[in-house]
Amino acid sequence: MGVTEQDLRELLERDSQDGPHRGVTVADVDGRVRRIRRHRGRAAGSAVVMALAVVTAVGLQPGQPGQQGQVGQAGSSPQDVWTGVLARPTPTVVIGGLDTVVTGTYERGGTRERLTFWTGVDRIGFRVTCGPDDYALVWLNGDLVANGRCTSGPEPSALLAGAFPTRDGENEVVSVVIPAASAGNDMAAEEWAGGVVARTEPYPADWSIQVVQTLSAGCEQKEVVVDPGSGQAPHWICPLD
Amino acid sequence: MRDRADFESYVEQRSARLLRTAYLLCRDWATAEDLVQTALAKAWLAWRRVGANPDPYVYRILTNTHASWWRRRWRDEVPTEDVPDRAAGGGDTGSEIGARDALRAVLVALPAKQRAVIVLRYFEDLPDPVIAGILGCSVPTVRSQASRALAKLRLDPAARAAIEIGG
Repeated sequence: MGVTEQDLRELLERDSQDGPHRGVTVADVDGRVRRIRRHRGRAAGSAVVMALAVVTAVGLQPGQPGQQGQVGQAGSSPQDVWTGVLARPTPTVVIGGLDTVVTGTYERGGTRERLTFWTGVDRIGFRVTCGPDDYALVWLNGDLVANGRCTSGPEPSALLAGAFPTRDGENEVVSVVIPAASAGNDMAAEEWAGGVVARTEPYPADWSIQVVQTLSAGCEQKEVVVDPGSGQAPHWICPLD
Repeated sequence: MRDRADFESYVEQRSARLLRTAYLLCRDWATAEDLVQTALAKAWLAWRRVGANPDPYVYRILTNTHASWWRRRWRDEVPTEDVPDRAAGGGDTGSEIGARDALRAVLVALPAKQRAVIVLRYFEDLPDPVIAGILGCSVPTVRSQASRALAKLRLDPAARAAIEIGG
């Protein structure tokens, strides 16, 4: 005979009752805060050294009006970045708490896909993986925050963007891919983007979006690097506070 | 705006419960203390941005940190999908204590995410949408993780069906 749900509840209740009485105090937490800050301080020093071994790909200054490409990205083209990074010494440490917040995998283009998550991170970044002939658009809480072709990296090709501040409570990420040929030259204009998406008929397309946590402070100076050790995984790096 | 007094009050009111939750995640009191201190410290560093109810934020840090430590611990080992039989003697011991020990052993052997779902659902009594928000996954994922965990725990099939339907 199996155990019941009530058995499980009682077991969890009972097992967690005989812990230390002192518990965790504010002083304990303060001590841990100091340790974290010291650790981050050391890591920030390492970041300066490491920055010499990676190529800055994303400056994250606001995109120029009318400029095609990823919102918030500027500077050299993604293709240049990968070539440059792969020619550099292998970075052995990737800095950044880049836990995945939520992911979505889809088989249809031309259709807006919605993901939600609750505040638990300060800033997020996106990695949209889609075909090189696809054009991806991402809205965060109603604002178009990223758009462009999936041209970063050899395989799978991707659109990288971040870091964007979240809001308290529920956050909404809406994303879509459309044929790049439909995108036109000024998709950064929100009204135009919405119109083009609305006119795009659904079509078969394998694509996915990964929403990742980025560190809170200084992510405007964020860099995208490639770890040649793994061969393909792009990472977001933010200076640590 | 949230301030220091808010935070201290939160720690005083919630740390005991958080410690119990952390213990159920990691099954070691010293590690649980470490987890809670780390989660609360990270929460303090982001306190001004935490919403009116800090619990989901803190639970999220707690489960993420535990999962991260768990991955680190198991990096060089291969977890198995097979879990030990709950009743080593073929289920004929008739001992409640033995059955609970066996159940406990299976709980400990669950992957971090499945254990987190079980603890948040059956200890914290959180609804699946809230658990999904904490774990950063969809509600169907929470349910599938719970279903897998319950199968390993060999919860009474009728009870399991009721739980899954009731979600």
